[in-house]
Amino acid sequence: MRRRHRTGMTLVLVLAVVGSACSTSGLQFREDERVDIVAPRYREKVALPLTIEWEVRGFEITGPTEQARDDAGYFAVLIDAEPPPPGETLDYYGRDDTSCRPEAGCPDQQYLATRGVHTTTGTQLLVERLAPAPGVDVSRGDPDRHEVTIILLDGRGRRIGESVWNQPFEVVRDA
Amino acid sequence: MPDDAIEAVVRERDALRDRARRVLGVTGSEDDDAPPLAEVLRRSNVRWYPLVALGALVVVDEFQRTAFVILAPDIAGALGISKAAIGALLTLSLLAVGLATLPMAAYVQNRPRRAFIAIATAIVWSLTTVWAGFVTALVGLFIVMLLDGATTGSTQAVHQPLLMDSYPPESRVRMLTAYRAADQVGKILAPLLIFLLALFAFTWRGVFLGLGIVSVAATLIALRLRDPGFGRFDTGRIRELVRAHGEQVDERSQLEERTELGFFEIVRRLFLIPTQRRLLAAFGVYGVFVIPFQTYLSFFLDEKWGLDTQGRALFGVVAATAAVVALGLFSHRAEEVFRRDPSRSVQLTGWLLVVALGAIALGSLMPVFGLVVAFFVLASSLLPAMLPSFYMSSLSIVPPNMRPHTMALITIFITGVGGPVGLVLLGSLDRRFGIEWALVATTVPGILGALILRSAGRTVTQDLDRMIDEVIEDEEVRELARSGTHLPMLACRGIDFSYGQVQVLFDVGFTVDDGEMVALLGVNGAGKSTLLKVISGLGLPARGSVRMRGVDITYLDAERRVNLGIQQVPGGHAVFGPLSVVDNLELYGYTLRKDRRAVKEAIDTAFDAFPRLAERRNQAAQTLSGGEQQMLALSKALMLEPRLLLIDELSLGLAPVIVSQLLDMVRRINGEGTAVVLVEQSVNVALSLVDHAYFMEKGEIRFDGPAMDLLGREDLLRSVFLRGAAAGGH
Repeated sequence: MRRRHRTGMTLVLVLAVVGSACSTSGLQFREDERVDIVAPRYREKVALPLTIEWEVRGFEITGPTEQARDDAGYFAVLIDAEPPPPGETLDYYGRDDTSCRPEAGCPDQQYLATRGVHTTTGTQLLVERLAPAPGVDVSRGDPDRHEVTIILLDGRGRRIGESVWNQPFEVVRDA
Repeated sequence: MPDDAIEAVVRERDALRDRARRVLGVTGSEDDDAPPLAEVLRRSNVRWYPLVALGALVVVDEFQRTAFVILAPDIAGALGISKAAIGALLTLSLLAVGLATLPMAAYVQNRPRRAFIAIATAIVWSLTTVWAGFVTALVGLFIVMLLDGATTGSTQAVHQPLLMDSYPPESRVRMLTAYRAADQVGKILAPLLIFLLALFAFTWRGVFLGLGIVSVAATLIALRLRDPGFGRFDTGRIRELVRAHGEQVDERSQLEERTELGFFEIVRRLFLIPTQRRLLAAFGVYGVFVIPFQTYLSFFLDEKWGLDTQGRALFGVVAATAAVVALGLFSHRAEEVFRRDPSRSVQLTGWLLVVALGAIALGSLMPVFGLVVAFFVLASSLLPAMLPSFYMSSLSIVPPNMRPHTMALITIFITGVGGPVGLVLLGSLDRRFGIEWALVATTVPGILGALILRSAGRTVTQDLDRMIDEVIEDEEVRELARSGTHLPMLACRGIDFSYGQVQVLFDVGFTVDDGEMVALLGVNGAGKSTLLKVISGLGLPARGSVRMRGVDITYLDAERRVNLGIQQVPGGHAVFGPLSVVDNLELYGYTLRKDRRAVKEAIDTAFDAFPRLAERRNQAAQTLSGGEQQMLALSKALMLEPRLLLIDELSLGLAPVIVSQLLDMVRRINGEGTAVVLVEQSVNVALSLVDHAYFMEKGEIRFDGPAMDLLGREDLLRSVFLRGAAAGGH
């Protein structure tokens, strides 16, 4: 009896943990085709400075506002950076950095840029400098591969849904 | 027994073993062809269903992980989790596959519940795959991957043992081959389904949902799967050969139930089989290159030949298709080779391994992409093609209920031992010499694996015969029991024992009956104490059996034998030195469990028998004289009233007056019904007590008969310490 009780309790606990890590609403089962990265192309070899360019449809570019709509807002362009979880703002990137104090306005644009995170209301972004990917020795001729990721932010700066668009590319540097 | 009678018995035994080998699908005949599969199934009245059901399950078992690997960037992007976390989850899942096999093997070891495990785990992994589509956080993914890994472990632990018991031996290599082919079909189907679902604009969530639905459908196919029981077509048929009346009798004595081997006893028993040890080592080496191979091949195709994700997925599909073709081509031939000679089957596996690794090395260095594809596809098809013979050899030489444990050990050796070594090895080679040379380097462990397989090939027939002999002996003993024949309390038969590479017991036979007192004599190093260790469970034999009232206890733990009534008084100082006399006695009483009164009464009995111990009750045992220490050791027998007492060198170094007192006590213990085995170097001492004696020399029993007859054997006594005693007038 005691054993059965214990098994039941364990099951309830597991289901509770599982339930908290799952959801049935707001999930995206079909591809979001609102954004299309047109430059660089898939695995294109490019030189610096580099222009990242994309097309957008069905999304109104409003820039930061007080509105939280799923179909309006602006873009975050991430280079070699992982996107924040859905619903998070870009403050997420400063969460583990004790030197980045929110009361001092951190993370600001400059802070984010050092981590490869840029925001824009345009549909292109000029990248003038890009450090070699970690572990890559350019002088040895290692391929210097990077990845650009675009996510949508609502007027309040929160990530919209789970949509993410990315493109790998390779930087070719002068000898 | 006259020589011709002995020869007749040996001939009969050989003929029986030969018939048993045929039952196990080994004909030994060069011109023997494997009968068509359909005919075998019809003759044995079995259906294709178990293969179809298990095949359906193995097709879908990798869906979840394959999807996770392919869709990892999408999952990471959508949920905002790092690549490192994704990598950790994959490692966790693989770890869970390996570890889950162990409790599954333990769960089915004494009851045939493999079909239940197969179905239950498939339901869980199918639902988990569906559920993966609804995960919104890392912790959810963690649980999904853990559950998926743990349930996928069932394909390793129970599927192939279940398949072995579902089909007769003459079809098993082909059945295992078909099962491996289904596994490859899964490797084709999973990326194909993912590709199709992605084509219809489904996200990773949609893909998991789709795959989960397919997985649930496959599980529904397997719902009617039933466990046929252990050894229906192999050990069961061998028992039928032995049984005079041919009827199966399922009754099991209480003693048999008490002596069922536990999980660790089974694992330890498997490691005692020479071929199994070698095959496990070979599986470990196999893991060194096969675990990192797919990952490094993927990087190689990406970095050196610029293949993108779709290109690599297509490459994987082509390789898996080639593997299915190769398995189809090898199937019949592999069955025939096993039928003719299992050792050749193992060696063939070694050759396939060498050719596969040669193809990997050549493929890594080819300057033309077409040749790279050709060599890698060849390697990718040969590696799965060698597995059916590999598994067949490993599973054929163990009793059916131990096959899940064998599979669990194989999985752990591949993923837990070989895999990490391979990842470290190839990783460092890649950094130093580049990825193509890392792949070329896989030939080194490959050649080592082939050499181990060659060595395993030399012992596999011997181990198959050993298993047959064990089953025959067991059934013969059951027959005797059924016919009402009296079975001795303890019988050792054909015992071989080695310390490492040094064999010290050779084909030893030894019997003790209820209430009997026998002497085991011989010079130092003859193997007397080792034989006692084998009886008490402190040492496990490489071959032979130890039976108590006909029930096999050969591989039972020593502490469980204590509960069956076997006690040993070891030679020398058989006491816990730093503990007091009374503490020693209380410790002996641990088998009396929590019955404090019984322990106290037993201690009082010991003090009554040996008043000198009572006087020194609080004195540390190590401060007692040699004689007093032996009294204390003997008290154990007085307290616990064992059925069999093994006494090693009772008189060594003691004064005659003390020896006399101790012998009186041994007589008393024996008089109360305890059988006693007295190991002695002194014939004076031994033969004054016993009627029956054994004499050992160089690990063999040289004399077995009435004690007085031993005194007449000058040939034995001349060279040893007994000569003087013999002349002394016994």
